[in-house]
Amino acid sequence: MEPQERVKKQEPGRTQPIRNWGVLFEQQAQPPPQTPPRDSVSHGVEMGYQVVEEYLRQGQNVARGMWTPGLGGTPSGDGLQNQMGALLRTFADFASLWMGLMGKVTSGGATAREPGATPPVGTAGPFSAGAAPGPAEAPTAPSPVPPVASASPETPAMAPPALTLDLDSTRRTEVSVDLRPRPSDRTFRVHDLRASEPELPRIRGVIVEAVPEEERVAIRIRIPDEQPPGTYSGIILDERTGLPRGTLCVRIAP
Amino acid sequence: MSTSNVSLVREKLAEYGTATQARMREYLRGRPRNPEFEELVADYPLRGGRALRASLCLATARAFGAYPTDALNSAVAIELLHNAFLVHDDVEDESEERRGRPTLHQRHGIPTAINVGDALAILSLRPLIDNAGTLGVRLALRILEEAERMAHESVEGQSLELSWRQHNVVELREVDYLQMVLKKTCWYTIIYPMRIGALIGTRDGVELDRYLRFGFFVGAAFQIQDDLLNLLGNPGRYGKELYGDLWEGKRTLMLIHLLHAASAGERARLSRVLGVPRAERTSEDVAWIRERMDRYGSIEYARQIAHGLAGAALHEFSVACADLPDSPDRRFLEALPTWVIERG
Repeated sequence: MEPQERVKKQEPGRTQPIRNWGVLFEQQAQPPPQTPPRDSVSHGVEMGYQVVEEYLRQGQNVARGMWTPGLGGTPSGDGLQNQMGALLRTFADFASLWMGLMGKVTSGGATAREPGATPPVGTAGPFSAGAAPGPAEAPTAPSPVPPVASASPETPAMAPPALTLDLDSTRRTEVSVDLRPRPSDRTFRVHDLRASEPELPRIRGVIVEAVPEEERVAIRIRIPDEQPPGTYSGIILDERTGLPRGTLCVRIAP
Repeated sequence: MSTSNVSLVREKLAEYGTATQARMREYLRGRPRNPEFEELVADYPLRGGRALRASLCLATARAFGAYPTDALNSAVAIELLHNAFLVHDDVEDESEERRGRPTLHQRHGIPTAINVGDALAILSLRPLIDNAGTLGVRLALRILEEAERMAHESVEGQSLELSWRQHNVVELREVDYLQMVLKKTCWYTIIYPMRIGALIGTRDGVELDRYLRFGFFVGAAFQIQDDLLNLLGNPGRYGKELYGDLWEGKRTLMLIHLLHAASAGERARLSRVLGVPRAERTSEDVAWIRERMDRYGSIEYARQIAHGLAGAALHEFSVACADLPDSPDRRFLEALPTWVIERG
């Protein structure tokens, strides 16, 4: 050390107290990421739902306390579930838009489909199961169900995967799935199925997995007996990349 | 997303923007008692803009079957209030450029700019009051009630962001950012215009919270894309000060990501740079932050989050608008999430 050189303290790691316990524990538990995690898209979706559902919960509580019948309108959250059945009919409308949008995540904004990607396939349902069985209803045991949509004739892509639905429910339940896997997809992750009303519990533990040797995709859903009636939906993601591959919708009849 | 859908969004924005501008000019002409002041009040509104909020209101009302004229006053009110917010935001953020020209306070000083912002906010009440004549007192009051809620949410969000800068808060999580954006941006950019459009289109016959999720996801993707454009935009076309957010120390998703990803020493330097007033920040500081964002992948990370949010918006559109019959206005709404992240 030069005689004139002053001894300096190292730069501190932080410049203010940590008042947020979550941040404090996060910092201790895991080092911050150096590069974007591969599943940033999925992380964004999950984080977004976390924020908006918390906001809805708070807002609905306040709205219930403040609603003024004289001014019209409806108390927040009232009757919304009744309007949700139409969701089951709309997958095909928006899914192709969505997949086009998501294709740009990996292609840096280009509009072209990812090489090797399949055209939209695998839209299926609604499948019905439950208390009032009919000839068209899916059994609760696994059974192959052909997709409704098929690949366009001019595209020599992989054959649409068969879907196997294993639905464990004591009540009448409709299931719709729009799945557009790519050849490289092996495992999927399904976000918890959410109802439009945030106070309703989510349906957790839904499994969607590819069975490549049988060229099918298996879906396993267990509906707890105490699950309130309603329409629940969630996003299916490719486990490896975190990119969306489809949506799953379940309607539990009252 | 097909090119035709992107074109549809552009066409609708142009169509509804023109209609809103024409009616807004009538309100701006108003009762000219002080022509010089009226000119200042009309400055930002006449600079143009996309009229996204007004278009959303008109499109939602039409998608439900209303006549465009039914929602035009409300659309004008949204645009006027938006311009009032812009004038005040520019003062609060110390921004230098707005829609390709110097900000109002740069030209005329802060006291005048604040007064002009107030005048625009007050002027935005007039079309809402006029709604009583066209829509009836009851519906006009419902719209006013919604406007009050939106304004409340927006200033609360702005207050959050300002306090982060004022107290140089750097221990922020991404969900903190999204909560702020929900209030500051999503409410008045997407949620409120859609709620007003639905109120008018159904004559208060629809449950409005159904649009909240869609509005949040589109609005959040919009805000992140807006912040990205501040770093990546074309200087000739952008219309605002490039890197302005870095100069202003705005807590964007990219900055929050960088704060988590950077080393302890870098975080300390970042905190120090963010803690000084804008005038004391140097171009070297700004260039250093920008370079670190590239190094740590903060920009790519934010881009992916925006894509995820836009995807969730499409999902939520199918939930919230499942019962809307097909129409160009419905397709416009449906195409918004994609347009939001594709716009340059």
